[in-house]
Amino acid sequence: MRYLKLIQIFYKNCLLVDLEYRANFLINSVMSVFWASFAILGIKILFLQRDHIGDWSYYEVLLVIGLFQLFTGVMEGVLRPNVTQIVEQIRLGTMDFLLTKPVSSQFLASMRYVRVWHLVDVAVGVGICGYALYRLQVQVSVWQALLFLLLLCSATVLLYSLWLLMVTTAFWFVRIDNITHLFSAIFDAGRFPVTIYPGWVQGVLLFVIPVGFITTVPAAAALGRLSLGYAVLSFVMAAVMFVASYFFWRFAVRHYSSASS
Amino acid sequence: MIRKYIALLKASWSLTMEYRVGTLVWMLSNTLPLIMLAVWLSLAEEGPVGNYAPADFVRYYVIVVIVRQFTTAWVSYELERQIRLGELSPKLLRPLHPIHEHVAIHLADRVFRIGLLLPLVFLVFWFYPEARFSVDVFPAALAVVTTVVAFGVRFLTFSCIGLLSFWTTQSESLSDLYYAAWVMLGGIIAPLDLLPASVMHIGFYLPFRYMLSLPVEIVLGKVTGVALWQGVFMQLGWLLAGFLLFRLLWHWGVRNYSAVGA
Repeated sequence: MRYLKLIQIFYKNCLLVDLEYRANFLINSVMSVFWASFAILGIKILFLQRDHIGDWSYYEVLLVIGLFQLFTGVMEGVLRPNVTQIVEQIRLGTMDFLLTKPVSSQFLASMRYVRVWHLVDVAVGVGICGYALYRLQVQVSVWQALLFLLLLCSATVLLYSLWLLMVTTAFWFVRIDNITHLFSAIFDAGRFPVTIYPGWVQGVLLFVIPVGFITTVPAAAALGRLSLGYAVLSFVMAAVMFVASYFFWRFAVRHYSSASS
Repeated sequence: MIRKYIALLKASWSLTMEYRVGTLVWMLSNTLPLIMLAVWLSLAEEGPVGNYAPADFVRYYVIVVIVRQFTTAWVSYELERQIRLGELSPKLLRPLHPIHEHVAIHLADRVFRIGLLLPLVFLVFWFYPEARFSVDVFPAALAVVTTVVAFGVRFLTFSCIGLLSFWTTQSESLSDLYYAAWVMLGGIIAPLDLLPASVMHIGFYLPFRYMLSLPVEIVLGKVTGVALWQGVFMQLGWLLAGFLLFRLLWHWGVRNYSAVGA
């Protein structure tokens, strides 16, 4: 409860700051719509040649693109601003102040900031998903809808854990903009359903850098073509990564000896 | 001038070696051509796409990756930062135009990247003999020349966008837009002959084809005869246009530039 209240205070603070920069809202909206159209044009080129990619039709791929856009928004709006701050604090040694606060350091480091205007991406993503589902005329049962929402939550947890794992390496490497850039580049593979990639790449995208669980698996659930095994696996992956990132963070903090001391 | 440049290149080479891991990660981050290759290969499984069989896609994207490593440029972001933070001011006092520093670091970076890349390319052709191909001396030589010019076009037009920071704080977004158009119309999302003819009709006049696709088309023999010389002519046109525009923007920009805190 205390944490929820803190989040409320933090986010209100960030909202007030962002309201000072209202022009950014316009620019972010334009860029978000632009990137979404870019992604859609990209698959249009593919569908000029074929009416299916693997066994995915145009609107089914569009659903994946929508989820990709949504989670890009989560990454840019909720995760990246915190990462930038942590890296800066580790570099300057001001991490000390954060560690002495009477709440979980992981919570403070990873949930403190939000960039409100980047949440436009989330809205655009939800819009694309909605349009794709409407055109597909899928009959979603209550169970399917529930599973879809649960998988979205597990995807969010997974994404959060991956970012936390990356960020934690900053305790040793200090500069990690290369690592996050590489991650974004691999995350790009999530624009397409993972089933179209060759076998070993699929393996990597599911179990090494589990992008597949973030876009493809929830989409498959909404389309009613997900086997129960993958759904369970998705929850297990999210849980394992969350616990792993939690312990990695604790390990790193214990070995942290501030800057220049 | 030549002696200054040699000194600059030496310094840039040391800098490149210092940041070698970073450069390596940047190279690894060029995943988009590989993602697109995988997607096109999965489409080509059912039969050729346009004129492209699976081996043609592999060949095409291997060459795209090489030309891309040769022509990559991040100068607009550097200029944007230097102008915004005022780092440009002291550099303006030096006897050498500040842009040469960026040219030198890009050139040194080329040597490093190609050194890493060529063994990988040989491995691909070794393990995937279907993708091997032969090319005559003339197109090969022309491809090398157009690759160098392609770097020139990319470097100069990106610099122009970076220079817009003299007037706006949003040049980074403009760089992103320009980059996205290049991904779409430069030959990364798809070989250009798989795009709709109407799009390519416009694309012929835009700079994007001349920053990546043209040398690839030449080396694969996709563009010959009159079309080849039209392409080369357009590319040289964009090189000149980029150069003149850069001179103009620089001249105007520096005149009304007052750095932060100055």
